[in-house]
Amino acid sequence: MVLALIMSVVFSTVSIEADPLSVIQSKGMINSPFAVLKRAGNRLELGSIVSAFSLKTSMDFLGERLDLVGEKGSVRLMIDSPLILSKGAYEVLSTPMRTEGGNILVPTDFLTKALPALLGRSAAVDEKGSTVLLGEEGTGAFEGVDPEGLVRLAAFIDRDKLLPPEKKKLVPRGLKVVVIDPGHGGRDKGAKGGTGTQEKDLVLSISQKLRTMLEEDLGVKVVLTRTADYFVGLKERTAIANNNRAELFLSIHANAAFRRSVRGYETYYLSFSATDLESSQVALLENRSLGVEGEQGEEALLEAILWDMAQLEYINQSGELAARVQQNLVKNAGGRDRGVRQAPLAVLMGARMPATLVEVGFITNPEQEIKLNRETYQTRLARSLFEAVSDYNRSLIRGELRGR
Amino acid sequence: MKKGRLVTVLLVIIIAASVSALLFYRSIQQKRDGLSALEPSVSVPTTEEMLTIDLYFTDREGSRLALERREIPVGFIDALVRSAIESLLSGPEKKHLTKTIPEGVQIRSMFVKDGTAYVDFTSSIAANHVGGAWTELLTIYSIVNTLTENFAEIGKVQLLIDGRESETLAGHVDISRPLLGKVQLLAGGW
Ligand SMILES: [Zn+2]
Repeated sequence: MVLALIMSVVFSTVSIEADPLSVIQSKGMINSPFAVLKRAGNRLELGSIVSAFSLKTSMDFLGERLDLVGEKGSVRLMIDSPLILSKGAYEVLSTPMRTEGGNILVPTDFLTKALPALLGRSAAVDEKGSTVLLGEEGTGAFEGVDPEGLVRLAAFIDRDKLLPPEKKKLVPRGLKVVVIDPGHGGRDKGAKGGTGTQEKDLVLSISQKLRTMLEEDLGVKVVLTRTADYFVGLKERTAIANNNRAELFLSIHANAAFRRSVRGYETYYLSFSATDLESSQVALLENRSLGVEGEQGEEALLEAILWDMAQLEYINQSGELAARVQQNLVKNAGGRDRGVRQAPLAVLMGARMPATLVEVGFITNPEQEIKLNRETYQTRLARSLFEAVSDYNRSLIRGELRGR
Repeated sequence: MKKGRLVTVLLVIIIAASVSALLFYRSIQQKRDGLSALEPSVSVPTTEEMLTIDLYFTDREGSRLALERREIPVGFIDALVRSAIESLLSGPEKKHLTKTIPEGVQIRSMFVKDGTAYVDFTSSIAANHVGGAWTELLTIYSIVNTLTENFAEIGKVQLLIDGRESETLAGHVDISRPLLGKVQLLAGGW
């Protein structure tokens, strides 16, 4: 049935409605005389987008998964999901794709997130939110005709420079709340050194030192996910950061390797894989088609997926933070640079803020173990982490850190 | 009496022939490329057919996964998987490679269902793990890659500890759901 609805949307004639979204592009126009995208509330009718850009559509037999095919590629959408999958990559829409009154509706950012994959061209929405600009990467100017037939000259597309209006208005401000997460604790002892040093003790000590520095020298509120030697679950740690509306999450760990010779620093931020993501989508569909668990089960599953995806929005800043942490450790505390890495770390999933996990040295390396136990070295590590956070804060205030 | 014995002998021969045919079929079904695929041998059918697999251990620096090629007896998928994991448990033969699974770990059970291998280890895989995010990643993907890269039947691996799903192995890497192979770990990146 949904398929039929889509088809009717697709083949309905494009008409100009109140406050439509116009489309102009660098070479000529799309669909003579002029393409407009229909709005429904603050969303767009997918049918008008399909028609304007001559996309092909196909839907699975359950009417839940929709594939769109354009000149240069295809994307997959799921009803009630905010995800767009494309060639092993994905984008997250500001709101899920929905069906309403027989139409499929998508948020405006669908244009900037899906059109590049479909058409092989950049897409942006202008500051007034009334025109979609399409073009090849590069600079220049192009002409377009608006619905009233007026020729309009628009500046050329640099997707990154043409941010939506809300983002432009954002006044940059510094950090207010930082959450520090001393790894492990209680029955979870973490790694152990040759002479019995425990990761959980070491990282707590460094975390407390860092806390004092951040509070006194940077004037930010600091919340520790644990303040003594007790067990805290991984999801709980992330939840503490979310509930405190922290603007930065730093998980502190000490490293371990199979061989004693391994030493140095590593800093992590979260990795995502589209295939993992697709499988969670499939799980949602399977769950739905079985219909056993009902709406509640489905909501729980969707919640789990959204939890997993929460960090995606902050992934660029997380990378920036990780780079600063790694750089400052190597520079100020000295030691081998094992690099910034990405991994599917459970404690970083679900964090609604830039988040990183640092491994401050190998407790399994005899020399490093001795150093890590020294008060002065711990202070040096904490100072390096402090410098990294201050550095990040400066960039934040200068407006140098952009979201995804 | 004699006739009965003859029938028995014939049956044994027929069964033996079909089993070896089946085993041979499975061996060529293997997704290994031409180099390691078994060639049809004209020789004595009594010798055990072997299958070449790549085991994923780690390098000296604990930076990346590193391969060691082994021969294991041809068999049904469950037996192959068990044999591959047991090879991982006993460690590499090459001196410059390192074992990724702690000492004393055993397989509690394992099976392959709908493209996913479920491998259940005794709790020492977590309790005796040395720790560290990357090291944990190496342990996990030495198992996952070994299974997904060698057996076409396996697309994903769900690791279980003491019969249960677990959030992590050593407190860092998410293993709560079936994992896909990550060949990139070979290059040290992600
Ligand atoms: Zn740790």
